[in-house]
Order: sequence, then C-alpha cells, then structure tokens
Amino acid sequence: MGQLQKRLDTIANNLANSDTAGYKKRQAKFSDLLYQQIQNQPNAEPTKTTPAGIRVGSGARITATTQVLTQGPIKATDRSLDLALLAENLLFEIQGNNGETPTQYTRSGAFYLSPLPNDSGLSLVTADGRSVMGYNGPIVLPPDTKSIEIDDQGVVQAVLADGTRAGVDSLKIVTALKPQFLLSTGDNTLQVDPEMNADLIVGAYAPQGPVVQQGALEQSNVDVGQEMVQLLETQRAFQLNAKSISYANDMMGIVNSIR
Amino acid sequence: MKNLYNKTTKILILGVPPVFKGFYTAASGMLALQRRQEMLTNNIANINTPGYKADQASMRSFPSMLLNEMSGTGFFGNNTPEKKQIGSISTGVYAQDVTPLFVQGDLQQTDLYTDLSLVQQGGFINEETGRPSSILFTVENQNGETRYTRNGSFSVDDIGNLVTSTGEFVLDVNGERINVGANQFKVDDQGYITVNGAQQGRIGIAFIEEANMLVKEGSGLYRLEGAGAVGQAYDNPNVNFQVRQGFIERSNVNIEETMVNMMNTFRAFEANQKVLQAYDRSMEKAVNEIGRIG
Repeated sequence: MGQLQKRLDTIANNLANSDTAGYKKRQAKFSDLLYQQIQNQPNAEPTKTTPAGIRVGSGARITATTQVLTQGPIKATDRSLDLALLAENLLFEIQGNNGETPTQYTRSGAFYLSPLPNDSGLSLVTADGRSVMGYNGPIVLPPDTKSIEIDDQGVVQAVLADGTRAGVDSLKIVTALKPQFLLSTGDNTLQVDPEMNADLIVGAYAPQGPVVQQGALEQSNVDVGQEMVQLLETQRAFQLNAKSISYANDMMGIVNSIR
Repeated sequence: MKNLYNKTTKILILGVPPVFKGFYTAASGMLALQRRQEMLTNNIANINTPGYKADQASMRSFPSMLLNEMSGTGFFGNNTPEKKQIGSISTGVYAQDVTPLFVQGDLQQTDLYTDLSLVQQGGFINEETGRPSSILFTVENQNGETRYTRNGSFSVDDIGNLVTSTGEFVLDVNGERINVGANQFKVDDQGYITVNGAQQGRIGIAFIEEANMLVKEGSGLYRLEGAGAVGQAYDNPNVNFQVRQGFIERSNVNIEETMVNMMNTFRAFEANQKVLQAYDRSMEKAVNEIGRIG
C-alpha cells in the first residue's frame, strides 16, 4: 500500500502540473519483491514436475519514476518572449542558481527581459531571474531595443528604436542524450546529476530543421484523461490491498479466539 | 478403542495422540489455508506490476492412513483379538505447490520507447504432457547468471546498455548485453533493434519448454530449475509471438477471482477454527470431567 501511495503522489503531481508549460510527466514503474522459499515437503517425490518447495512473495515496490519526454502540444500566445522548442530532448541552457555551477536546463520558454544596472542592457531571463545562456554567455540585448526577433534556429536579433537590427547571439540549445539521468530541481529546471559525467548526459545540439517557435509555448505533456484512469486504478488497488490486510487481521483474530 | 495402523512409512505428524486425530488435521488445514491466503495477498499486491504472472496454489492431502478396528470374537469363552479394516483416514492437508499461471496479460500503451512487451499468440500448451511452455526476455543479473523476465519496462543505463528497471542487463540472441548508445532505438515485432537506421541486434527471447520449472526470485525475475531445454523462441516454428515497443504487459491477476478465493479461504479458515474449538471442548471434558469424583 505504501508503494501505491507513492504512485498516487506521482499522479497527483502530474495532474497538478497539467497546465505548467514545459512540464514532462512522470510514470511510476512497479516490480515485485523477493520471494521466501519454504520447504514444505521433506522428501521430494521423483514424479513431481514442479520445483521443490513453495515460494511466498512479499508484495510489490516502485523501482523508478521515469520522466516521459514526449513533445507536448504547442499553444500560440503571440507574446514575443514566449519560445517553444519543437523537438523532443532539446533544452534551453540557463545560468545556475546565483551564478554558480552546475548549469541548469529548462524546457519552458516563458522568458522576460530584465534591465541590467546602469542601464547597460536588457538581459533575457526566466521567471526566476536566471539568465538564459547563448553561445557567448548570457544573452544581453542593447538598452534601446524595441522588440526582439528569434528565428527558428534560435538566432536572436534585437530590433532597435531606429529600426535597425542588431544581431545579439544564438540561444544555446542543448540535446539531452540521456534524459532519464536529468534531475528535476524545481521551478521547471533540470540539472545533470552531479555524480555523473555531464558530457554523457547533455550534448551540443545538431541543427536539423526548425527548432524554436517564437510566440508560442509548449504545454505540459500530461494527458489528463490517462492520469485520471491511472488514479482510479490506483485507488482500486489501494482498496483491494486494504481488504487483504483486513482479511489477514480477521484470520489472526480467529486464531486468537480459538480458546 | 480404535488402533491406528500406519500404512505408509512417511509419517508427517509425529507424536499424535491416539484419540483426537482430527485435532492436528484441523491445524494443518489452517496452516495450508494461511499459505494460500498469503499467496492470494501477494497476487493482489502485484496487480500493477508489469509482466507479473498470478500464482496458483495447489493443496494436497497428506498420505492416508488405514484404520483398523480391534474387536474380540468370543468363542468358547475366549476373546480372540481380531483386526478389521474399516477404511482410511486422511491425516491432513498442506499447500504443495505455488505455480505461476503463464497466461498472456493485457497490453497497456505507454509513451516510453524503452517499454517492450511480448504478445504470445496461443497458450503454448505441450500437447503430450498438457503442461505449459512460455516465452520470456533473457536478462543477466549482477552475478552474471541468466535469468528470465516478462517485465518489459526497460531503460538505458549511463553507458548505453539496455537494462531492466532493477538493473539487470537485457541479452540478445547470442547472450550478449545490448548497447543502444544514447539514441532512441526502434524494435520491430520480430525483435530486431534498429539504432539510427542501422540494425544493431535482436532481442533474445527464450522459449522455456517446461514453464512450471520457472521459480520466481523477485524483481520480476525467473530462474529455471533443473536442466530444462531453453531455445530461442524465433527458431521454434510452432511459437507465434510479437515484440511490441511502447507497450507493457499488465499483470494477469484476475481481481474478481482472487477476491472470491480470498473470501472462500477465509471462511474455510474460520470453519477449521470451529473444528479446533470443538476438539478443544471435547478434550476439556475428557481431561477435567471423566473420572472425577464428586
């Protein structure tokens, strides 16, 4: 039942994030527990066609909650700072917490502009204020930028007040080679497990077709209908296991009341 | 007084008092039913485990004993003891076997390309012996031994090997570990693995002739006891199956049947308790009241 509780938590988290842009749902994987071998016959019979003894199982457990990284639906928002990644396994690179390593990654492209001190420019940041990285460091737009244009390969251009365009940088987009080894660090960010070699997990992105769409956001890939069905399944399994406990309890009560 | 005459040499209950034989029989009944209930509870706990095969228990009666009646025939005033057989009595019951039921479970579509499942067409019952055979994935455990599993919830480890969700390596037709690198791979319904358009290998699917000799070890693994034949399922023309990617095979536990069996087991357990109580009261009378003076 404890494992079912964890599954319920996973489903609840998925449902709570069904509207979060860029969220990737998690699935719980089950496995059965060890079996205890009981010798129930002291002498094996030669005509027996099954292995000796009986095995009593001890239940089930959750072995992993894997992230399912399928592409979520793209919703057009017409906001020029909303970006959606169009292929699976691609991520934006953002600066780590308080400028420290390790770097973090995100799938959610809802960005904002934050003015730098001394009016030296506008930096492209996430909702928490962390800079979005380009190939030459954090992306900083000139202070007199009127609007921003990002093409489908992630090249950022600032349109200045006088109508001229200034190339700024290219968004640093990386490929998650082994996405199942990325840890969720909250606020839509992902991080490489510090014990693993980062080069094996995240690699440079090889351009192939349109990658970024400006003015759109990728929605969560949670299928609410599917999650509700799993929720009902988990509830039923919970009830059945509770009934098993109740039977075991009653049987012990019967033994106790023999005399 | 009845004198019990033991027919077989295998006595499974020692120190049986000659009078209330049924006392230990009822106790053995309770123990056997308790094993059965444990097995049913384990089945219920595993209704969400992919590839889980429901266990079935078989109960067996202990070897029967013959009952003889000692009586005397009077003849010219002599009493010649004579033994007369009056039938046999079973001395109890025990849970003899817990065997997995190798019936195909339902398929559930997941969105993970690392989930594989086996879909067998037909029940694979051996016609001569009536015993089932089965097909399973071959895996290598941490000690390098070969194990089998139906749980196709695989994933890829950090060096690119295809592994189960508990870390065993999935083997190909040659018994080697499968390395798919960092990329997405495709598996077709005959088990051929394609990585980036190039064929990489073939998933090893073992055909176990005597499925009843498979022993559950936990974590979805089966071990083959005895020297049964293990061949690749692809080579066997009578075996029709498919490998489906993106699906997992659900547990084949039948919930309604299991719950009904649990109810029956519980009531039988209760009935055995009543038998024990009846013997207890009889013995109480025998011990405390027979021969009491005053």
